[in-house]
Amino acid sequence: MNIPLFKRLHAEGLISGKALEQAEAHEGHRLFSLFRELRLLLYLGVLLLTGGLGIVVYKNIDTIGHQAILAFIALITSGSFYYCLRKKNGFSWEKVEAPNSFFDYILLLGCLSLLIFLGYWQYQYDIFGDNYRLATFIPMVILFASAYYFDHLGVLSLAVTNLAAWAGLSITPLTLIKENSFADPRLIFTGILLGSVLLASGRLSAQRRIKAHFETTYTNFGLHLFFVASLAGLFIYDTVFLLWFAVLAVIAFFMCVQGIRRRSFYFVLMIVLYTYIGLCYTVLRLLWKGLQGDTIAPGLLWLGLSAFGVAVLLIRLNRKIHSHDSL
Amino acid sequence: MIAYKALYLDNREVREQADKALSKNIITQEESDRIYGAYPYNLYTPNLFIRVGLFLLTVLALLCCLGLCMLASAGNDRSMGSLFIFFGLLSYGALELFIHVRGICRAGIDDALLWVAGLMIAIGVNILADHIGPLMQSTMVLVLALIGFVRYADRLMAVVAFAALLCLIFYRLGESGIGRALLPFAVMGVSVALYLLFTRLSVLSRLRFYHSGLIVLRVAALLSFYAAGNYYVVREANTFTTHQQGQIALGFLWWTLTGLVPVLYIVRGIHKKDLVFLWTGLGLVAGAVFTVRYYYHILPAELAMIIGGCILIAGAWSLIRWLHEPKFGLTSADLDNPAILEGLPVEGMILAESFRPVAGGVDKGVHFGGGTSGGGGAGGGY
Repeated sequence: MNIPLFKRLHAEGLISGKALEQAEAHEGHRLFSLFRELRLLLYLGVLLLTGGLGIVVYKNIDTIGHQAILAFIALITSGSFYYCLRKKNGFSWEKVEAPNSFFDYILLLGCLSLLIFLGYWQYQYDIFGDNYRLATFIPMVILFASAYYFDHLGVLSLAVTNLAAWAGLSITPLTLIKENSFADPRLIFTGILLGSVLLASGRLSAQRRIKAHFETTYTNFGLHLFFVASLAGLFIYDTVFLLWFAVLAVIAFFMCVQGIRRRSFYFVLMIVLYTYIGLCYTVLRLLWKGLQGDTIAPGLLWLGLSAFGVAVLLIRLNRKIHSHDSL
Repeated sequence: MIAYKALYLDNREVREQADKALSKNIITQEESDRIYGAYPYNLYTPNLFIRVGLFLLTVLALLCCLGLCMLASAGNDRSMGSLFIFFGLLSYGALELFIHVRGICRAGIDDALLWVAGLMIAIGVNILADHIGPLMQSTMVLVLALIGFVRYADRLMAVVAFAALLCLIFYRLGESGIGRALLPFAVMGVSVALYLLFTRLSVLSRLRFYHSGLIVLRVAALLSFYAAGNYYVVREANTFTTHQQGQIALGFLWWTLTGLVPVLYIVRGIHKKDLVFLWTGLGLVAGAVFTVRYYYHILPAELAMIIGGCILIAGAWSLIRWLHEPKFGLTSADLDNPAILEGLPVEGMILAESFRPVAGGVDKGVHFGGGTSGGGGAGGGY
């Protein structure tokens, strides 16, 4: 708190004397908090320890044996879940606060080690046989259940990525484009379908007030998946790309209206940028076709002008939403 | 000096303080609204997402413009170089225009124009001049980055300017034998001098708009002081300038500095309650560990990880417990999160302390814009 400033504000009659006193009290007796530093060190320690243990296990796997390792991971998993079940704050369809600051980490540890456990089991003993769908389906169900039961956004994200893996897609931020071969039409339609399902789940969560704060996570995954798959479709179905873009633009427009209504500028920005990529592709293709190849100068002109136009559009939309600086 | 309208920058600071006070329930919503009414802010400053979006779009538009100009130009080195420089100057012009006419401030557009302008001029000069040595190169970057920092208060430009200055010293002293021997000490000396300078400057209210930039510069100075004494850096720099591998003189001194400086930073950070020192020190511990492990493989990596991890967990855990009730003005509780504060004895203590004479509070007020006390939010953000 800037005390001279608060004194000035008080002198100008903007804040009461009580507020000034509170500000002074706050500043005068402010403690120096090592909260973040100590948490960071703790986190680093956990990372180092688990990493080191992992290497030791990896190096000595012949002498330790798979069953011992599986038993150890199972112990961690059950221990974490046992802790969470005992400490949890009761269930509700609304947001539930974590009982203490370690709860979320322990739940995450339990879920992650559960995934490792099932993966290891499948890899070494083929428990699900060749049924890979089942191997992703079971962890997905457990993860969704834990996310809703314990109210954990991180676990929900894990569950959603597992849902996508079950559908045959890889949708973590870094692998969305790299690891999916979108040349495969089946994958494109799966992506569009799953994206729509996630977007719908987001809307339903908010409307029915079923863990309404989960909405952002659903919408975020759904939006990116939907647009990446749609753009891939636009690039691949080159005979009907105009029609494809027209449909995409209409959907994007409606989503944009939704985003503005919800005052969520992050989503509006993403929709505008994705649509802009599609638009640029469509226009450049048309130029290429119309001008028989000599497209560098008009292409650059179009890109430059349209980038400027989209920037202006973004500023307009931003002013329209005029939200507080948040998501 | 600064391109943005000073009145609005001041008003934004007032508004931010009001937001902070509101979030801690020090002022009411009504009071906050009154403050917002009395201190208008008419510049366009969007949130981070839009800033990134606008940055990308502006860079795209600028590159397309440049591409069109290149298509139209003659294509030899002379015309290309002049074109780049001209384009850079044009970008500076556009930047001024956008700031003064459209009233943008940290909106992505101005960031993009500033960086493109600097890059274009640097590239243009390099195309025009056949060969410019590292000394001239560093000087040019230093000047361009200083413009960016002084006129537009860009924090990243401040870092670039600092790095350019270090390069300048490095290449200048690297030319002669005696210079090479003095290089680490010179860099350390310059770092200390600049650190003191930045610290002094950051309390001047005249330079209040550069405050966050100066914090970044203080971190940079602390880092360069450490780097100048780090065994690995000294050795590699020596190899680079003399083209000779092998042992370096005063090895003991460099090893001492490598291990000791981070610890001293942390101790000073906690003692003075200075987040800049504390975080730099914490980061540099990792640097010291890697330096030692680069030369001496005392333990296999996994064993070192397990032992280090255990020490960290035990240390951090016991400190969290020990500082649960504040000691020496330190606490392990999250003070920025009022919900957590409620369950702790901290609140009672603050309440009790509040009935002390207010002199302490007034005293602290001298820190107007100072680094440590108000820096609860500032230090972590970089």
